[in-house]
Amino acid sequence: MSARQFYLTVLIFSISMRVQKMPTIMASYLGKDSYLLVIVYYLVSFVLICLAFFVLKCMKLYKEASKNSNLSKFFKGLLLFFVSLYFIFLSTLLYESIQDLFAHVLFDNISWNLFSILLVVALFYMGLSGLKSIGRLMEMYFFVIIMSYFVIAIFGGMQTDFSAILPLETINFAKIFNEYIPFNIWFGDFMLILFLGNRSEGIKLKWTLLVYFISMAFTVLVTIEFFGIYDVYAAIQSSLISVITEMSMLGIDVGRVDWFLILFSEMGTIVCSGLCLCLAKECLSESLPKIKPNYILFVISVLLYLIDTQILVDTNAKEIVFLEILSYYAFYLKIIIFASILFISIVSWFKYRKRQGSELDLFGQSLQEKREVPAFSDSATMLAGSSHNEGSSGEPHKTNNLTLQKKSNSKKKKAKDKAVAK
Amino acid sequence: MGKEQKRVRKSDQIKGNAQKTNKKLQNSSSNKKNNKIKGKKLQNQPQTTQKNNKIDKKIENNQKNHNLVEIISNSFVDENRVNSSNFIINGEKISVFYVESLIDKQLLSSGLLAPLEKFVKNSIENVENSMKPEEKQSENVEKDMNVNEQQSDNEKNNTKNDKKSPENSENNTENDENLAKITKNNKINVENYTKNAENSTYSDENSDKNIENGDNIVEKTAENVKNNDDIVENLAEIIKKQIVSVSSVQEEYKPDKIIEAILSGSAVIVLKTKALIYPLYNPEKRAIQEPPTSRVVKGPREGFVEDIDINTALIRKRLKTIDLKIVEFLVGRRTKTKVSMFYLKDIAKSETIKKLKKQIKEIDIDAIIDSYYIESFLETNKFKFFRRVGNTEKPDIFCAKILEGRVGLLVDGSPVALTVPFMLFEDLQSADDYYNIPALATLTRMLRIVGLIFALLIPGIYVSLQSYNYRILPINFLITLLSSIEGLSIPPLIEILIVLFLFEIIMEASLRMPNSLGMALSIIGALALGNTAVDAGIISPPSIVVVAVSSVALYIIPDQISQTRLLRLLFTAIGGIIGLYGIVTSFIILSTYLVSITSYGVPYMTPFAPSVKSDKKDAFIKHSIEDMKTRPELIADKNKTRQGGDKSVG
Repeated sequence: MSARQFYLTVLIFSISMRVQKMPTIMASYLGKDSYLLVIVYYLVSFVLICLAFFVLKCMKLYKEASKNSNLSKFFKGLLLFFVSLYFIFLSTLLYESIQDLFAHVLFDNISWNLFSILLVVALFYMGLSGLKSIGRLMEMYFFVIIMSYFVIAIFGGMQTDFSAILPLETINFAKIFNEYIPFNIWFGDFMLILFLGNRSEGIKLKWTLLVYFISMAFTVLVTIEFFGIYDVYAAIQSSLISVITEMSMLGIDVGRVDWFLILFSEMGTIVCSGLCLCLAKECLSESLPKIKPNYILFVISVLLYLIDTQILVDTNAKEIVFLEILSYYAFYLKIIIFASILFISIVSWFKYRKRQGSELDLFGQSLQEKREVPAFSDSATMLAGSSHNEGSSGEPHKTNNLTLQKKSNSKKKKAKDKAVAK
Repeated sequence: MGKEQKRVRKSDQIKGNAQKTNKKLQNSSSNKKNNKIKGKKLQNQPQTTQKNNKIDKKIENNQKNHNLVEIISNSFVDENRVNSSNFIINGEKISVFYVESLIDKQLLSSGLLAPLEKFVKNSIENVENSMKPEEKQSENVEKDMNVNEQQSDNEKNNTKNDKKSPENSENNTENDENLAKITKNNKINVENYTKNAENSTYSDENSDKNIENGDNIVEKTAENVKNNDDIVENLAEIIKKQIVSVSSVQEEYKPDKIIEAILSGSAVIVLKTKALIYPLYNPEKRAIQEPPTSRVVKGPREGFVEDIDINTALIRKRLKTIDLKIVEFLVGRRTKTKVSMFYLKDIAKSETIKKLKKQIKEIDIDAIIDSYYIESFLETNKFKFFRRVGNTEKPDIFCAKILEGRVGLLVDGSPVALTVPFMLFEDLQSADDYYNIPALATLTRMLRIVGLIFALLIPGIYVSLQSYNYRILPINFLITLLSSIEGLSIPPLIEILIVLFLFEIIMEASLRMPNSLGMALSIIGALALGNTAVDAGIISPPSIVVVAVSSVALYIIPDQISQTRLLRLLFTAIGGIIGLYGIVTSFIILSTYLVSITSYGVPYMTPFAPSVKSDKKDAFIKHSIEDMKTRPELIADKNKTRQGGDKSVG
């Protein structure tokens, strides 16, 4: 994936995740203060993104060092297995929001179990095509998706009563921080950046932060609009994206031309779900190298279908329990993963430094030998060699041919300097 | 000839030596010792033995085709198309074979047949004039006989050597020496013949000189001619150098190749052991016209024709650079169709060239009738829904694509040229875009995109809105729609499919129907569809409007018409079954497929996915030619600058 594709993917992913069901669920816990929790999440995410970039740098720089260790291989495999589960859950969340939109809002009465197969096929095919194709898809759809989000935000803003989110003094900060954990699953950008960034080239922190800032601005804006429009009724809405423009369309369920915009934006959600599935496949195939990636993808797709049709059928107890489990799993997994990767990176870094040091000595010696053999007489070469060997313990050997020794010393010095520079 | 036949039967070792020497002697008067040494060396060098084998084959063929004239004549016994003219020169029968319908008749008569006739006439006159110095002739003939005897002795020696063993290298050397003598004599004959022929082909003004020279001809001929083979050899040289005024000539020994050349439109002079092929191919050709599929308001109106030579000239006319490389192939076991590959060697990707060459060489089919045959072999993927090879009928477009770093193909007999790599967006570009102001080009490109979406999705969206998602429609429009579909007994999907199929049938029929019936068909179609079906309550007016809009929009991108027609049916069916959700999901699947495929290593959706900033100057928003300073990023890998930069590299 190119850097451009990476930024676009991060932007669409971070918006698509948060404008679906998350605000309505948040509303049931925090009411109109939900947008503040969104801001808190984003602020935390900014820090996590910076850390993710540090980890990425470590992973890329010291990849060699961690390669040979069996322990790190096993640990990496285990870690990637759990990460893949996380991406499967993320994919499930997006899948569920697509289902909600099409099966409950846009369609009156359809057999989702049957219709869902087409979506699974689409996700499977995206996963099969790989990250490169998904990145290209994002590039292709970006303009349409972003424009539709933009128009949706304008339509929403036309009907918003911004005073509904006031007064600010009633904000219950303690409650906001207490509810931090249940919603962390919706903010999985750190993981995405970590694993997508590892497969992308030339990405930069400043651009990622800028993209993330745009995403934050948009998400906070539409969340405020959502609470501004629906106020206390926000909690009973199906999803933000499906209702935010409803009021600007005479408030009735007919003549909803804005549905075309929603459909375009939903294309982004489908591609993001495919992206999560693809990442899950990649992580699992690294964790289970003996199994063919396509088989893994097939199994994940079937699993996704089963979760969607058996657990996330409608808003009932099963779904709530599932989402809670998901949230806690995601929260602890993120902590564990981050700590593990950080630990691996630091250990690898130390290993790399250590090995680089030993390579440096060897390299310095071999380089010196190479240079001296054709340049000097046998005795001079031997002396230079011995002087080098002795050099580490103390003084260099004295020789009658001082000029030669001087030359050899200067050459050695140059070679060493070069190696250090390398 | 007999000697050579015997020599064929020699053991490989001796054959290697003798043939090497023979070849050497035929080409130049090389040193005997060298030949011997080289011959010995060749035995130990497998690489050079391949060369020897080639020579073997040539000689073998020469020997096997004892009388080529007879063989070729017999081959065309039942063939009325092939014409032939026979001449007898010095007692040797030579024939000229050609297919009249394929050949440049004027050049044939003035450059080939007339000079031959004249030569024959002159030769006869010369012989008649030189009848007096019979004694000299007889003496010379006697000398020749002696030489012939020597040759036969040598031959005998050769045969003996064969029988003895390959170890008799000394005998071989003797043979080589003898061969050298023979060849030397041959050479003298050729020289004399040439000199004499020069004199003999002079005009009437020099008739006196000719008479004198005529004496010399016969005299020296009788002096030097050793056997029939020599005569043939000399005749061939004379015909080539002195008689026939057509400069392009090729010698051939194999009968199948000779027959192939005759059938492909060459005039072939067949001698006893060899044939001279003159490419005089010039069949009836279509004039250069504007191609019907890509008409332009401005810009050049030339189009390719079916003749590959004319097409090549049209390209050469535009690309006067030494970097333009043309590689020719003969494809098709029976048709032997000429396929030419064009590329600019300092721009085109070497991987693309290599891959294309390999693919063309690997084509194993009996006939190549049109460039489409080649196209299907170039598309390596199994699922060939979207074409990955571009085509054009205009030389200006072809040259522009070559200049971008693409590789082009011309197929003899087809006015459609092929180009690779190909991207989907090329079909949205038109020649007019480059000869108009960029703003207009931008507008027309936008229209094409909208047209493509209309053609592809409108029927599907209509069906899905009517079946499932009618709430999306504005109320007023919904009321109008509902009133117009009132009383309709069939479901929307079936209704639209009926209209679509009817349209497809009418379109198919109108393409194949005589022009005189076209109007009648239109009336029947319009009445049957427009009025009767609506009045009967089978279909509704909105569905006709939707299909009509979609069908008109199909033709906005004529090169993608087949794909769009099929996809339209698919999206209509999905829209009718699953609604908008189905259309969105299947559109994503289609997009995923499109972004994942490549054409010769270049992503199919370039310059949008992946996004290539510099290439977007010639995408939706068309920039002026002045702004397009570089060639497409992913197509050319060398010399990417079009404007400025190093002027020496074009």
